[in-house]
Amino acid sequence: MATPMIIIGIGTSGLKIIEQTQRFYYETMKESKPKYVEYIYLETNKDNLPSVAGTDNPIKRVYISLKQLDTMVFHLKQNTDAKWLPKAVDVSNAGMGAGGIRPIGRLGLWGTNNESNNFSNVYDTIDNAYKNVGAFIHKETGDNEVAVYIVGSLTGGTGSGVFIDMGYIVRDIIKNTRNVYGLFLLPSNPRDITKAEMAYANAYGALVDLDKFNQSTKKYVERWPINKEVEFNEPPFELAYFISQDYKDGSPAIRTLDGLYKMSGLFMFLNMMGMHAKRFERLVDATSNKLIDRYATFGLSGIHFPKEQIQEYVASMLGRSLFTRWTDENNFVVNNEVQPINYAIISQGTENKWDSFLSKAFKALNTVGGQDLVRKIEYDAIQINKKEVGESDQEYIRKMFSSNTTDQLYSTVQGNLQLAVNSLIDSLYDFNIETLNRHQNLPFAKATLEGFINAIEECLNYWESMGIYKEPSQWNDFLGRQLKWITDNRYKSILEQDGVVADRMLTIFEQLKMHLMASKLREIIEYISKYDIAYASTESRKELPKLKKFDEFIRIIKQADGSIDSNNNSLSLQSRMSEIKMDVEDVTIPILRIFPAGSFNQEVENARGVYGQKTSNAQMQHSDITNENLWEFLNTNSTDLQSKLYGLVSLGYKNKVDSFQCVDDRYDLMTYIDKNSDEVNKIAKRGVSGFISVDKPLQPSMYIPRLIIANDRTKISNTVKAIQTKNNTDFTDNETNALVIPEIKNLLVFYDEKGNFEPLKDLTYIKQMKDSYTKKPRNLASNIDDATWQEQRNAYLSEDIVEDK
Amino acid sequence: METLTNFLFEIDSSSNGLWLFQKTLILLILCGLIIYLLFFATSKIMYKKSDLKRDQTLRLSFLWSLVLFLFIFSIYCFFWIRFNGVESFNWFNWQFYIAISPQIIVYSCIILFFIYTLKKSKSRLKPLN
Repeated sequence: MATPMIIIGIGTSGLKIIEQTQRFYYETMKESKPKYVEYIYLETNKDNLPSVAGTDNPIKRVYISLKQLDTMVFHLKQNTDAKWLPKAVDVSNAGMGAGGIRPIGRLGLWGTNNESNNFSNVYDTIDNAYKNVGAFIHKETGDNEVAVYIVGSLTGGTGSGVFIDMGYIVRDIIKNTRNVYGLFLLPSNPRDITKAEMAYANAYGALVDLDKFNQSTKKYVERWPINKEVEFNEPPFELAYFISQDYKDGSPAIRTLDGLYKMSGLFMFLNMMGMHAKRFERLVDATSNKLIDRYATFGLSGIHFPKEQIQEYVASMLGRSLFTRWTDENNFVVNNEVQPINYAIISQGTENKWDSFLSKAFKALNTVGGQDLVRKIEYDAIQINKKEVGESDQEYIRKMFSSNTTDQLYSTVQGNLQLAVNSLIDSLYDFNIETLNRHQNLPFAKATLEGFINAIEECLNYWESMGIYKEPSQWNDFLGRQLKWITDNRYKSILEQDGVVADRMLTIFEQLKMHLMASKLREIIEYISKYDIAYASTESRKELPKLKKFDEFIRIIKQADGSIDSNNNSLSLQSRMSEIKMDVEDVTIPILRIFPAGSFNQEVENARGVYGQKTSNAQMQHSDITNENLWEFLNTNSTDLQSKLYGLVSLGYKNKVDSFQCVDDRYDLMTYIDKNSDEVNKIAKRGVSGFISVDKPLQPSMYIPRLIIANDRTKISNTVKAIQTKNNTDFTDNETNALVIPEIKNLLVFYDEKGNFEPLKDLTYIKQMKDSYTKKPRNLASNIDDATWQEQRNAYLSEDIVEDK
Repeated sequence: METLTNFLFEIDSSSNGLWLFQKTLILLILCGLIIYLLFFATSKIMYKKSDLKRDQTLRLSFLWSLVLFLFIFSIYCFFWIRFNGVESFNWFNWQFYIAISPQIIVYSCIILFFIYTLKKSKSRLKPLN
């Protein structure tokens, strides 16, 4: 039965492990996490956000603010008995993070500043997580205990600074628990320690601190900054697992830290899926038999058909094609055919469109408050011809249109200009949406918008050539010149005088609109091409599209694609493809990848071919990933757009690739195991080699978990038979050593837990670690001596807070 | 009726200058009247659904009325030649040209007026006013 679980990541490494765990779970279950599991991570870097598989982010982030460190120290000195606090000089020299200084990492957890009360935030988040999983599990299974795993690296300042406190916080929240575990990454056996002294020294300091707290004769009394007195008789962790990139058997170390995160993620995922419950049964016996003490490690290896990686790789390829379609400056797609973009034709098209937009906007000015101004002008023309206006015709017309008279056409239209502006914004917005939806090409749509700017410029130039300017005085001069034309030669002889005068006055009315709109059009050009602030229609709230937005979107899409570098940590499809390729080709990771088609590239090619067949080789389109129109989609997701684009495109195409069954998963791992017992035996042997380099032999025991994990029992039996044919008796075919997890179809895992070693004695490179801890690095600033260097590596002081029981 | 027919169609080589002047004047007035009627009619019929400004459509209507008048005048000339018989036209006698001078003057005036109006209208059709 799966155990309710809280996984707490500390620092960036903790987050990476949780991400890998979540990725394994998503690949298997198509969900972000089970209901009985909570992911939490503590981070001092505000910009370091989770990159998750799936649309929703299940990882709860607790931001530990490291601002105002001096204020934090001041408050803690007043309110607690803390004597481990960092020195003032370290506080003032600290940068954005903990700077590798362990007391500063711990200060971050304990401190309070204007941004947050960090300790309280962490405590409450874990408490809430416990309530969530606790409440869930009690309904379902009764007395099953919640397991808490605290995961992270001990090489930096944050993780090594807070890890012991975290254990005790969990113990305070979950009283009398026997299920608090640590999974900590240690630096690997170094060839050359130069420039990495701080990582080794911090890890050594952390091991020394943990060793003090792990003494069974000590108790821990503390006053926490949440005004709470606490007393613990237990060590912070029931069992602390240490792993590094090394192998116990001396095999070449895991090449990258990502590989270690992956193995840690796999360990956590298997625990979530049932391995914890299986291990827990055995660990109780092992602990009572003193076969495993406070420290442990494990070996883990597997055989894997990486269907998910193939799917994700193909999805990334498809996503890149979509991004290319969106950002291609040379070609666009019409009726599923790629054609070159002709910028001259786009410009011509926009001129005609602009005329219709302007005409529509001018019509909006014909009616004010229910009064039809055109009919009013036509009526006035008849009155003028009948000589019933009470003054000279020209004077009457002048008053109608002049800027000097109030309550006449000039002021009426002027007060109504926003209607025309709204109409223009709506037209430009709708046309932009239509263009983007039709062609899904941002440079094309941008060129259209630039075409509109040119059309508006030409329009304004034409108006000026007619003598229509935006200044009221110039308008009055222009009007004066037109008056004679209005009243001369009215075609009375053929009885057309009313129509002619009305028409001429309507012409002046249109020219009045041009005069008043000139400044608004100039504004529209400025907003489209220069300003950052939004210019929206006051009625529909639609926003004027902007050239800068296009440039920004194109840049971010290219960053999400990977064709240009990103200055943040967000993933790109290209980098993800490289990661997948590196991962599946990395022979230092103890996971044997098998490919029925012969190779990863061939599998990808086959899957891409199937996708093409299923979609009739249609071009990628934004409806593959969202139902929103492209412009709205980009605008509504503009915050953290790169991550969202990456996530949605990757997930959208992955779901499509999955639903089209592009990757043939009918291949049974058993077929491979039956035919390749040599390879299976090699990988099984790697499974019993722990991820740590210690001098002491780590003997197996029937009380310590050693498992083969697969989706059915027969597969496990056949695997044991296969490796036994190679004289390998590490694994036996019995229920104790078998764990069936029905959901893990494409994966078979060998797991071996190891304990009863002391990191401070048995690590093969412990002397180098100790040296880096006791002596400051040679290239360090001269104002830091060995004593100061050591103080920066000590976050927990035994003489003050750990007392004899 | 016979007088009107004689006035419009007969070529009288013996007529004096005053009579020719009167005939020319009457013909011009008659033409003006016909052009006015044509203009009146075309201004009411043509370009009703046009997007052009009223000034522009009226100028175009006037040009059309001139075209129509030229057509009518050409029909008149046809019947005028037929009435007199082309054999009676003495092309080498200067007195013959004097006798048909009213028709020549009217025709020339109409052509010149058409050219003048067309030129003027062309220049005014471009801008909005």
